[in-house]
Amino acid sequence: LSLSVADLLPCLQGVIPSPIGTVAADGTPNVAYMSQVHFVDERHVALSCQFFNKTRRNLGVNPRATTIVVDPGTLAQYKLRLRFERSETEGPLFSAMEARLAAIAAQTGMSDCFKLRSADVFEVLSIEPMRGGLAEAPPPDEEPGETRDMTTAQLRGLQGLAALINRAGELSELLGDFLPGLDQRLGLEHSLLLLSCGGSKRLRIAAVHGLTDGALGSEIEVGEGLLGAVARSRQPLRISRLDRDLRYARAAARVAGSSAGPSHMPGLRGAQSLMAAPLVAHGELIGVLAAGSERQDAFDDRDESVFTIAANHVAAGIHGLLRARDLAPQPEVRRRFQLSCGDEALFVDHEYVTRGVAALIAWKLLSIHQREGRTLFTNRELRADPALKLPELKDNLESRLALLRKRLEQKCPDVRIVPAGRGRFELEVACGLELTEV
Amino acid sequence: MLSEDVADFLQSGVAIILATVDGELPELWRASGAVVDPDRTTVTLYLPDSFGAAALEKLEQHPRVAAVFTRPSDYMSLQVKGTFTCLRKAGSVDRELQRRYREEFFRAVREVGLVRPERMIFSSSVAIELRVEEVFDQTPGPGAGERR
Repeated sequence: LSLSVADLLPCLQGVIPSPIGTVAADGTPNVAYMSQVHFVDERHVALSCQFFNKTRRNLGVNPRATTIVVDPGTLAQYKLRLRFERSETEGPLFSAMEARLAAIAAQTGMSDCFKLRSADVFEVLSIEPMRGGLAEAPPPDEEPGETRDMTTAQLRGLQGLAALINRAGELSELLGDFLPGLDQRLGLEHSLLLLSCGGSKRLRIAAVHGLTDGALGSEIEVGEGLLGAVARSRQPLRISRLDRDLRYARAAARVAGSSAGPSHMPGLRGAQSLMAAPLVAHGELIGVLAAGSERQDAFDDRDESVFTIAANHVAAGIHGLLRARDLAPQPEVRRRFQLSCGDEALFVDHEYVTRGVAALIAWKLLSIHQREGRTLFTNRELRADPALKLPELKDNLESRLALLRKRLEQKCPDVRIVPAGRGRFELEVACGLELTEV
Repeated sequence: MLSEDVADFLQSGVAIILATVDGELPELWRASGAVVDPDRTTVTLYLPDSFGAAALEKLEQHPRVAAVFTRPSDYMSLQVKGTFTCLRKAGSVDRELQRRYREEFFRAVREVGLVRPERMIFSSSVAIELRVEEVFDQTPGPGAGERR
């Protein structure tokens, strides 16, 4: 092989769908489109088998196939001669391909019909640049080796991030510093970090950076949308052109007679490129890290590797800080807060504090503080939370917060709400907390 | 015979891939335009000059072909299966039809975010004619492969 599969990585991001040609037992050719040709190794690619039944039948009698891949940057086209080797229905390759498909399916609300049946592995017999026809293949811009190596700048960036993570003594400090660090050191301008909550069934946005629709504090279900799917599958995901992938899924949804749902992606609205990695430490899912860009094709394979390493570092860091806090000596004073969900009433050590919106706000603040150690909150994140049932009026939140502050002063001076200016406030907690919902 | 709707679709700015067979091997070509004849039983496809004498010989041995037509905006796709009937050099009318195809195709792919598609160039071309035998729905999804 003069060109290897690795030289075609820019073509394998699923930006431009690839046709696959096969031959039936009676000698009739067939063409089907695939959403993506996956890199396996220098001599193999994998195709996702979802629907194309004729292709599968043909490969059963004649294993030879041909596909065309296009580099979305240069528009160079390559013809690949393939020989079908095997179908995988489990294992790392299958899981990685399935995770990607599941993420797109979750994002369009059609998880039922958009499923990976198998990862079909082909040996690549030859790769030819295509000449004539619609496009002339221009010579590649860079030496292939150059693009695949991690740059010194990225290595240094990782080194700095690792140091930043290890320096943090509190979870809130780590959450506050990490995403700006990703921007400064790896150039990731828009990012968010979600932490598991609700018995690991939900994810809450615990930190955002660079994003304009500030969704701090909002929650999604594990399995919901692209980021929820990453949490469920525990597989990293990279998308180069989100609208293209969603369009492909919606085409399938129309054929299946179902309607594709809205693109619900808190915090990354408008992103065209996306990287997301599960945060896993000691086998436990603790959250998801995501970075987005409004540019198409903003991230390549190398970026994804670097990003995933950063995610693993921060996962270990968060896990360590959570554990350290669990082991730390508890303050002598402990206050027992209780939320009575039926009538939305808040009690401290069995004494009534407040009810309704003020009680729900208090519960949200105390829960986040207990879990993440966070002390700084914004009015904006409270307004954005539908669970608090805030009426539309803007001044309503201020008055509820004022009421809550006053009630806490009277009933539990160990917990204080202190305005911090610019629509923010601090939650100061000078006691141990015990929270129970009844 | 193709329906009018299908004929219109094949002649719009859709991506076109032709599959032929070389011995046991599938061969793919990217076409630069299609024309349906007035009685809607024959489709002409424009292929690059590199589709030369060797390919013609293979086609004569193996005249069964398939072509997929895909609209970039929503991946609606149709697959036409048929039999190769003849090959000729493209003339001035063919070149004008290809020019129009090129404009429409570029507009369609630009709409879905491809940058500067005009970087794609056309080499001189040949025209091949296919007698249409079957049409299948090929839009990605569980219904792909169903006869229309």
